[in-house]
Amino acid sequence: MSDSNNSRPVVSGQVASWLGVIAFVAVAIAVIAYAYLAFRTTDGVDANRRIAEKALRADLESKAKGKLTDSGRNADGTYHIPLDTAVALIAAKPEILAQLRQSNEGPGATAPAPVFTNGTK
Amino acid sequence: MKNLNLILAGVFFTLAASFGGLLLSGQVQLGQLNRAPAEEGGPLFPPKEPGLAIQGRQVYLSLGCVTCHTQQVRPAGQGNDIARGWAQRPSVARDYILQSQVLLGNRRLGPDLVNYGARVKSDDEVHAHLRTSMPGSVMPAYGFLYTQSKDGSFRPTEDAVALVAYLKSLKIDYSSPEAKQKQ
Amino acid sequence: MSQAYSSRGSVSRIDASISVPVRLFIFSSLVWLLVASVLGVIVALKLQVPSFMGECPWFTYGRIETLQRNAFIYGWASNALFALNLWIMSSLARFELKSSWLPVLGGAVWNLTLTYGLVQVLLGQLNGFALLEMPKEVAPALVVAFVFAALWPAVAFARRPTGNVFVSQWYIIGATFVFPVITVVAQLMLLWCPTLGVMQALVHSWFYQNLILLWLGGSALSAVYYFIAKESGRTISAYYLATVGFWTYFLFASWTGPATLLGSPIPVWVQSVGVIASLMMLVPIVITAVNFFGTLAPRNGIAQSWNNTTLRFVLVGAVSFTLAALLNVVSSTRSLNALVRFTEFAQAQEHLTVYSFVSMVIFGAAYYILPRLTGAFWPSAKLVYLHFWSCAAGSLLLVVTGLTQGWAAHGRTDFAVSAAPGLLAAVLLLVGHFAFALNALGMLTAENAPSNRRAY
Repeated sequence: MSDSNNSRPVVSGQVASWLGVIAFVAVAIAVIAYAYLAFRTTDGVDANRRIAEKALRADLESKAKGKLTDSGRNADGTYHIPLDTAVALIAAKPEILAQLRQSNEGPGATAPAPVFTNGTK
Repeated sequence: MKNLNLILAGVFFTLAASFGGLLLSGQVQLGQLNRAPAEEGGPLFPPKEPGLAIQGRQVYLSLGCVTCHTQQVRPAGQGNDIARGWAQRPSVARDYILQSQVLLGNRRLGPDLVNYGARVKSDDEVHAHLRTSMPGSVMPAYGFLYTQSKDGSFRPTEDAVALVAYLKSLKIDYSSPEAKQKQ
Repeated sequence: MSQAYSSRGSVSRIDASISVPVRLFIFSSLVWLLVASVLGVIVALKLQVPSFMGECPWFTYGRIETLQRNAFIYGWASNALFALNLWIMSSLARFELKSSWLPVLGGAVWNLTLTYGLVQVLLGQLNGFALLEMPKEVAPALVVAFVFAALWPAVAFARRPTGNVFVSQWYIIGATFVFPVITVVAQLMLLWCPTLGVMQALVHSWFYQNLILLWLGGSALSAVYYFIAKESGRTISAYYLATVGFWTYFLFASWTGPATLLGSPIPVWVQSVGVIASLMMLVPIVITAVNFFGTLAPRNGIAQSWNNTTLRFVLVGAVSFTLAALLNVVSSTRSLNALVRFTEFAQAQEHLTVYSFVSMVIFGAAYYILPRLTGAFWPSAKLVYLHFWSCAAGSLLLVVTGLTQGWAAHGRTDFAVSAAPGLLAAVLLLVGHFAFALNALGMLTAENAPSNRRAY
């Protein structure tokens, strides 16, 4: 038993056997785990529905954000502009607000009212 | 058989056999289970769990309720679960598919809870049961779930509210294709 | 019981090479045993006086019972079996461990992880699956610790100088292999990528039966074979059957999970498979019984074993194993199972396996191993006596009251349990364990010099 044995391997025989046993156990676990994960189908109807709902929510949210930050034409023919621009416009020219109110009280705004009241009756 | 690897391989085979025979084939049969209507075109069962009930399950888990309470009712031929009035029908696999942790339980120091929500009448009844100890019951009072205000009345903590919501959500009062078959 | 002290004064080179890890495992197991016994008394007391320690969410019955179970299985039994498996295998395979720091590291990580997990349980972070209650980061750490602490018996077997094989070695290798595999697979299927609905209950029953019957039971069976042959000086009767016994035990035990779920909402065919596997367990039960009692029964062997401390414990363990296994077969018939399921009957069955069988065998083995490991004598014969009778009486009381109360409960609609016998039994076990721990700690701390050895 001399400590000055230069040809001593990096991994002793016992440790090498130990690593061999570990490898065996690891392979066994991997095989069984793989079998489970392969048989486990994650795409149940419920999971699919949840993924679809999540995508829809994200889509609606980005659209709603877009309405606040971009200018564009609404479905009813009116226009929308970003909130910041609108605030800046009103600040620069306060009388624009009165004009807007007037146009809202015009014939265009009254049109949907009967439909709405009919619906609630 | 004197070689280590052969023995290990043999033991692996025994484990893999039971894994495949019980768990993989069980997975094939039950892994795809979805909500289903009791009859054509009806609402889907089991119903979605309310958010508060999902929080309440964590309280149920955290207090270790599963140690004394099961959540399964056996068919009429096996045991007297239905005769005891715990539910109208035996529980079936589909009843559990929405639960994150299935708490079937294996010991009854108290009644089964799978249909508890259908048995109790009001939140107050459940709160009273949690806050005070019933005579003749080994279930202690869970006083720490309540705070007493100055006028002597008890206020449930958030945990208590969630737990009661969970307990009230435990219901198998709907029917399902398998349940009809099993009865 | 005087033969317990026939220890050789010197410590062999093999024992010296594994002394440090084995001492660590035994010391840790003693600490956990005491913790679990105190918790056991609290659990029994809470059944008697439900309001006891009821003011704080930390000490609900569910949490304390969970702590007790985990401390007992992972703290006491598993640590002790690390020591037992390593010692028996080293002695059979003439193995001198070189890198003893690796199992020491494993033991340290195991116990620290377990402590962390149990504190988390106390604080309310627990899952609903028995013996997998600890938070989901605990089990991987336990498996890594296990790999460091407990795979050395397999190394010893692989590197043995002769080709001889004794049946104990198979059981140790099998048990050692089973633990990491079932733990990782069960964790994966229950907590990391959970399966759907009642599949979870099925997975859990598979894990639980394998853990109890194969990891704990397999390791303990190895010790029963070893000590019966060693201490009686006889060859195992019908030894050629032992191979069949080993393979049938491992093959059928791992299918018995669903037999613990009869009447549950899992598919009926799965339940039937479990029942059939339980019936098939009769093969290894009969073979082990022939091996054990066929060896000891002739030529007044039972009486001789009764006078030998190690064999007395091991004999109680072997009888308990046979009884528990037979009881499992009987109670897996549907009609009987329907009556006793969910009652204290099932608790008594589990106690018979985990305590009367596994723990009693560990005690017996410790009485053999510790003198050889430390070169010291058992400090007190009276404590050994107290230990045996206190534990035997407590255990018998628990099993008998559990079985009778469970049986009496069928057909009733109330939940009345008489908790007093359970409390008495828990106190008896605590006393016995204190006696054992006192004795064992005395040996572990004894100086290994002949001048310090007390004469008997």
